[in-house]
Amino acid sequence: MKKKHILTFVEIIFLIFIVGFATANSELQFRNVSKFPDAPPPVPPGFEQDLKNLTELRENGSLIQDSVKTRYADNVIHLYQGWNLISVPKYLEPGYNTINQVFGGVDTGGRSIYHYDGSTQLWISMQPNSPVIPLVGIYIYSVSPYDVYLVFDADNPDYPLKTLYPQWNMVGYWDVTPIAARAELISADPYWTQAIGFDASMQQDESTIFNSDPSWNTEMYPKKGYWLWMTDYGVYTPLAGTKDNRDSSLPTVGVEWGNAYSLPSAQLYWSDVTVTNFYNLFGNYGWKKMFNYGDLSALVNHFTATGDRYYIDGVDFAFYAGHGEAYAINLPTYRFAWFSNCEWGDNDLEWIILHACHTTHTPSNFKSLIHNSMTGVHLICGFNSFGWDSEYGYTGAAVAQKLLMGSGETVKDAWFYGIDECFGPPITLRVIGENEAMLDEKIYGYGPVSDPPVDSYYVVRDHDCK
Amino acid sequence: MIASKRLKGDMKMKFAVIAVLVLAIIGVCIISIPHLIGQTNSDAGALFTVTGSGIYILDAAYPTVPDYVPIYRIKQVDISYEKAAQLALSMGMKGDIQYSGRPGVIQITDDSKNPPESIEIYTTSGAFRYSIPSKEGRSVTYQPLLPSYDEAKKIADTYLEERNLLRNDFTFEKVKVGDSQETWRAGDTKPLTHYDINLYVIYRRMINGIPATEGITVTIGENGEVVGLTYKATAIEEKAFRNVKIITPEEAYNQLVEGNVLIKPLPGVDSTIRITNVSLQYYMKAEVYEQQFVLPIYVFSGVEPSYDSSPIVLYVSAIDPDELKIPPLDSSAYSK
Repeated sequence: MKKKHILTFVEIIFLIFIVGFATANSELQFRNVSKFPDAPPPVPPGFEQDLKNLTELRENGSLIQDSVKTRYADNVIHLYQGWNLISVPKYLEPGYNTINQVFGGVDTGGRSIYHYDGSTQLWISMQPNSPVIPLVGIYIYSVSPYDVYLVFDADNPDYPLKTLYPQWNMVGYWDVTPIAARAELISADPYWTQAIGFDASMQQDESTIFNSDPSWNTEMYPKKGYWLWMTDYGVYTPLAGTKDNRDSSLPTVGVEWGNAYSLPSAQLYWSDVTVTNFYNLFGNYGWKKMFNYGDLSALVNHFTATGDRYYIDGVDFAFYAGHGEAYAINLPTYRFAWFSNCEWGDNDLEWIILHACHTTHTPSNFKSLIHNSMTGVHLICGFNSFGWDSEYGYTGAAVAQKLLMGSGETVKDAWFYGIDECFGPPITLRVIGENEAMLDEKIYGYGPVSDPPVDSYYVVRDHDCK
Repeated sequence: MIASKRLKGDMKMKFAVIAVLVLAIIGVCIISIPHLIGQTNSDAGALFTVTGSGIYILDAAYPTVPDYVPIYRIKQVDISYEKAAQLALSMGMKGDIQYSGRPGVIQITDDSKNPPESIEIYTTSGAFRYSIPSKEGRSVTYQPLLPSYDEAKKIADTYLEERNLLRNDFTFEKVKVGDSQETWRAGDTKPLTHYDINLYVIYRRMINGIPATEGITVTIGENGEVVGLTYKATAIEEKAFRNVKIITPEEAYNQLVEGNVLIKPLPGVDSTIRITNVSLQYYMKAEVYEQQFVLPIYVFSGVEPSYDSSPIVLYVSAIDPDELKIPPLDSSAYSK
């Protein structure tokens, strides 16, 4: 009879030491991740040989001619001959959401379909029943050009979230509209340093997108997959224009401003400082800073329904400083964002400050029988009277501090008393809320926040500075 | 027949061209005439002037002013935590000093009170704002019982006298509604509800017989309770620093129409301003700002007819430019 081996005390200590050493080394490895990788992203198993074969085919003129369209429907992924780095832009309908159900018609030439495990930095071969979900990059080989048709799950209201690990991660792209890398990857900021797509038509990596200006303005595209280099752990979740998507844990802020006016509007000097003070303080308190556009970069469609999704209506709290009217924001060079063309809150926006004259003087410009600009926004803060260019941008700082310090003030009070202490009489301020409860609401992290029902009623609150 | 139709078509074309020309001429006139009027009248107190921030209509007499006025140096108060705590105590408040996040602002909240009371003290100006936040900024669903304006003044007088805060250099100015709240339904022309939430009793500071742009405001809430006090009484040296020559109101008005104001207003292109009062005052900056001297300004008060006669004020430097060449004053004296 074989004697049962029992670990001795020395062996246990030795094991603890070995495990501890390995763990420590593993963590050490992640802690010391360099800002940029030493080498290009990994390639899937067999890639080099396939590339060699494809190159020979190309040189022989035997490569299959692909009839590539300039634009595919949102639910079509076009696969090129060779390797493709792709993703699905939405959740897929049950019954149409596994590897076999989605890619069953693709002739991979017997090759596996891969995703990349960032936690181990290893390739994982996907099984026929593996789910196909958003934000996951997938490497797939196709022996000939092929169109994959997706069936979206319109009833799934969730927004995806993917954990990111130090070093390389292979990610997908959420939604069907291209946006700048900075906005798409803001949840992973500042830990992502590079994003690299794959050009399947050329079978090579695309140019690197760096997490810095101006490279981060490069657009990322739906249905593509990207390599992401991370210097630390992080999360990837769409934040721009995604209403109530992790607002309490990853709230977002964006600001726009105007200084460079010409007659008949007087030039201003402090609008940029005013909004930047607000922006930076929110950033210091963990809010994701989504955008800061000014002068010629502050565009009308950032405010109006045609393009607000990734700008004013793409964040939880927005702040504009510059000239204004009772009916519009007046951007430099006579560009007006008419309130009647706005629809704020249907994508994301909860609170907006319009640091400009008379912007809330006429509430019916936001909500009337023929138009409703308040499509979900909780509170609009503005001037009932004229206002002033805020010297040293103190108003932006004062309002932010009142919102963020201690137990935080309500949005209404922060606006009223922040402006009051910087301007005084005879300035009068006005906020417009969807209902009375919005007057007592604090920002995320300081009190309950809930979306009000959108109806034909609204509440107006006035404050005279003193 | 065909020729007749062609003739009618030509006539229509001619009418269209003439109509476009007439509209263009009208447009040019609308744009040009205010400029022309402004330019011709600007030397003699313009009646109607286009400027950097809109159109001014002067509907006020110029005040009689002296040639020289004294200026004063601000006393550096630099309020410490101990002094702030003493001030809070004089307002009946105890409590720990909290980090306000704002340089130059000390905040004390007394949580032992029910409801808590708060005071913010501005260390450079010495101004403070006391409030019962849950009452001063409250939202309401009914009309709070507020005192009459006369009763409100008595309440405020008593409140300030009991705390020895009503100094001789402050004079009662007015009582008015401070905060109000309305509920509306889209398309209606009148609110469904309107509530006045509190009253302001306002006292204005006078320096050497000239009003200053600071004062005391007592906020009175439901049942006559004092729920807030804004006290702006910047300490200044008693003895004048020196006398300075000032420009005339006419010269100040010309500065206004040139757009040379101390703080730029934010109106866009649609702002017509009716100036209803011109006065000489001392400029006291808002409590968050540091200030070295008390300097004279011309205050152009008025209304904006396009916005329900919403009040507006514009500040213009009153000191003769030559005086600003004599140290320690300089061209940036008003912003220091």
